[in-house]
Amino acid sequence: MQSLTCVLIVDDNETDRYVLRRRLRRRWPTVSVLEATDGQAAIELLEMPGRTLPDVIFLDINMPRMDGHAFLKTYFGEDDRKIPVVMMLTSSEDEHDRQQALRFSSVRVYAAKPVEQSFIDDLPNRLA
Amino acid sequence: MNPTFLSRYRHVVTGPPRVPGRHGLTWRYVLALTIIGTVLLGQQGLSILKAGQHKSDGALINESGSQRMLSQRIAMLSNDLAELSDDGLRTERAALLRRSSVRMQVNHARLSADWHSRARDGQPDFAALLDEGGIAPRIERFLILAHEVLADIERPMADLPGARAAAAGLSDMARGDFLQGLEEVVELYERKNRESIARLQQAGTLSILFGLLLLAIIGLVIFRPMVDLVISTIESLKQSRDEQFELGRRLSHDLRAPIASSLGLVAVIAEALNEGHAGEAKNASARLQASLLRLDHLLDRLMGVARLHRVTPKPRPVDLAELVAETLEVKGLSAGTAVVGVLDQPVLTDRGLCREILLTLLDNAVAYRKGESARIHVSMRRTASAVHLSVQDRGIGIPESCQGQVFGMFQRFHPDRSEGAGLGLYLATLSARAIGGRLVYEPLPDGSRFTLILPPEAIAASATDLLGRTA
Repeated sequence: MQSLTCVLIVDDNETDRYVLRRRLRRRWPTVSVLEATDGQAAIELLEMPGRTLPDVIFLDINMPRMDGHAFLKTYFGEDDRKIPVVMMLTSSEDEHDRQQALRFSSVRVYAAKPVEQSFIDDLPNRLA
Repeated sequence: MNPTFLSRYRHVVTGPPRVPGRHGLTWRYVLALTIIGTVLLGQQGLSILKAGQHKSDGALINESGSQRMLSQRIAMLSNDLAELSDDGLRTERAALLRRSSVRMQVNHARLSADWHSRARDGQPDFAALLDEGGIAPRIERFLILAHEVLADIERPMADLPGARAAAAGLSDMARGDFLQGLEEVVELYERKNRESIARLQQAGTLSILFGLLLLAIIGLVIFRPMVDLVISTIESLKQSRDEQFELGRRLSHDLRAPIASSLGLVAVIAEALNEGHAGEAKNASARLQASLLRLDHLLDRLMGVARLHRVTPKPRPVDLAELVAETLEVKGLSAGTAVVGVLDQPVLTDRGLCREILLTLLDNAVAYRKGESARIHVSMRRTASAVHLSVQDRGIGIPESCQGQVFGMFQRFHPDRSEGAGLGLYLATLSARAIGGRLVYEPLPDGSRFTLILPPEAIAASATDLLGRTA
């Protein structure tokens, strides 16, 4: 995967979504960015009929209604879905969150906020 | 924010776990020790009584047994004296006879005093000993005969025939019913001793059973509740400690989140300026300011939480209708809000804290409204034991899955509507608790109703009563 066509950002913080959106568009100006404010909204969005699935999901952990762990369990728990997930950690030392996310094979990469441009630029290699 | 973690903060919401008063535990402990000590002292007392009874009865049995032996000795010595011709031997025997007689006399004095005492206590066996045909007069006759022997022998001219006659009388008595009577006295004392010891043992057994019963009752009524109290307090403290730890962990995360966002925006501003995108830099700057203001608001709320845990309410007479009207006016909601219910008298509460609660409920009603304007309904009513102040809205409500965490910390059910810290209702609950009341949430088909319930203490019987209480 060298280029991203469509991504989904799941984060209740509008500022964090803005920063990530800007980083993505600096690297891939034509990328389609879908946004959801929590896990429940993300599932509703992904399961809309005719919806093109994103190439990668950027997933925050701490969200109201349905947090990142609950989203992973609900969306990836039973079906063999293969969308790679980038887990967004508020603190890079949050071992508790890392360990919980490790149970899901879709979680491929961890990124500490704020996400740097170099991380986004190198994302295809990280996901390969 | 993960409500599952935060729903365990109920002790943080409700305040420190209740620790049973030292006074309550102390008096129970003292009462239990007093009862146990009394039972032990009673047991000891019975043991001492038993030992004393043994000693006393033993002495009487010894003395009554001794009378038997002395009667035989006196009879034998008397016969010897009557037959002896040697002056030296006679003197020696007379001394022995005198000592034996004196000893038998002393024993008889002690024993007959005991028989008189028992006869007065209504013991017929001992009364019979003192009767005309009883052993007491026969012992006295025996001793008189012994004295006669001595007197006859010790005359300047010894009266040997007289002494022999007296000695013969003594021998007859010592071989006949007299000896039997003395033995019956011993048996009587032994029987009485067995009976009194049996009674004491019975009392001892009963006191042990009673003591065990008391211990069981103490265990059930005093120690078990004490142990339960201690265990539940330890569990509560452990839980509180775990929750405090988790709260600390969550707080450090929730404080880092806005800082991470702000750092991201600073980087965006720098990039935009480097690339000559002034408009984007300006946009990011505005977002940065908003982000830092939210952080500042969060810190302010957290300080409010700390302050509320230490607040001392100042109850004063408060006209709730006037407070509601003033608060609606400040929020610009007077025109669109229906206010119903009239309280005929002021309530005794902290006006400032009540106002804070009302402001939070009104702010939420506006933030989570349906449509352009909020439809709010405020009502007041008084029951026999409480005052109810309700704020009802026809807004978007709270998802059913989240209704159990309504008053938790950092609970945000509609992040798309508000970027607040999620502490408003939590602070309102703390305020309600501080004034002795509670905040209740009711989901409605088309909105929500929050009710502040003030305690019975807030109800004043009259203005005079209020003046008296607040003076």
